[in-house]
Amino acid sequence: MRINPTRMELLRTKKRTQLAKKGHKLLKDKRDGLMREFLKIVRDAKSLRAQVDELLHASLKHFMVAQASMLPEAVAIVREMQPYAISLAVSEKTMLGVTVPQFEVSLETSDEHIGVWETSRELDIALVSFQKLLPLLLQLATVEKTAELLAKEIEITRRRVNALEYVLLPQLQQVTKYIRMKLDEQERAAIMTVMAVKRNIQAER
Amino acid sequence: MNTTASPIAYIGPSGAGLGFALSGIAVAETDDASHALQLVKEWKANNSYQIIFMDEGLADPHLDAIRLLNEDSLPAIMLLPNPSKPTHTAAKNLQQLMIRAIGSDIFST
Repeated sequence: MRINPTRMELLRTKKRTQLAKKGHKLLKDKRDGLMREFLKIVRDAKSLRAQVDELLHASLKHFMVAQASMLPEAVAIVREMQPYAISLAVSEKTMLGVTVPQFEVSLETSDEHIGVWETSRELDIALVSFQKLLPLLLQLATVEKTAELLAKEIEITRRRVNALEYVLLPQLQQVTKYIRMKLDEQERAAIMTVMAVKRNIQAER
Repeated sequence: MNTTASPIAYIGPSGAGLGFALSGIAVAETDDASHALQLVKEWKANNSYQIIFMDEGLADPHLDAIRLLNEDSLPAIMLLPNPSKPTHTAAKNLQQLMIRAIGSDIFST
């Protein structure tokens, strides 16, 4: 251990220990807060994901049936059309120091309309179910992205907490103990020297 | 707040993108997972889309690369189940997130 066992160094180490303890407490609180938020979000994500999976499965099946019941040329024509225009607003929200994106979608009908005669009834059903699904998909995207970013932040914060708790704080405590022992030793040596000098002076008299 | 006209894309197997295309979402259809990954990389590099829906069948062979691409706040890459062969990768992803953050999946039991 290459430390100067001086009072200055002892004071500096004590200050560092205090700061590390404060940081440790703050990071622990942050980790706990993040975990609380994360658990809430994961619970939402799980139920939303199940709902979306079910709706998407049904909707895509409708589209498959619609495509199968239409002429390939009609499918190609319909594909080229854009009956809806989508626009997305992305904003950011800070959650315990983590910036998470928020998505808001708006669907507008354009001037192009799908012809009734060329398309099957299944296509209309599929389109209606897909329109219901889209806001849920966006909500799920927000929730899953938030969960992902929070998980990353929790991992980083947990590592920091552990580094402070199991590496830095024990190290600083060891350094403090070492300096104290050295200073005590120096003090005892000084007393012994004074006592020896006193004994010599008394012997000379 | 940033608003764009074509902010969402879907990448999936051939014939699966009709619903997305009709809803105004940009669609790329491919049956090659490597090509799909290449497209997602390009989109991310060019900042083309804010949300990318990806078929889990195409994402499965390159899941680690997709996870790396999804680490930034944008674009949000979201895996969607394949109607013909669902692999539930997205649900497994949530489980892995739980394990990464908490240490175990406490909701699985």
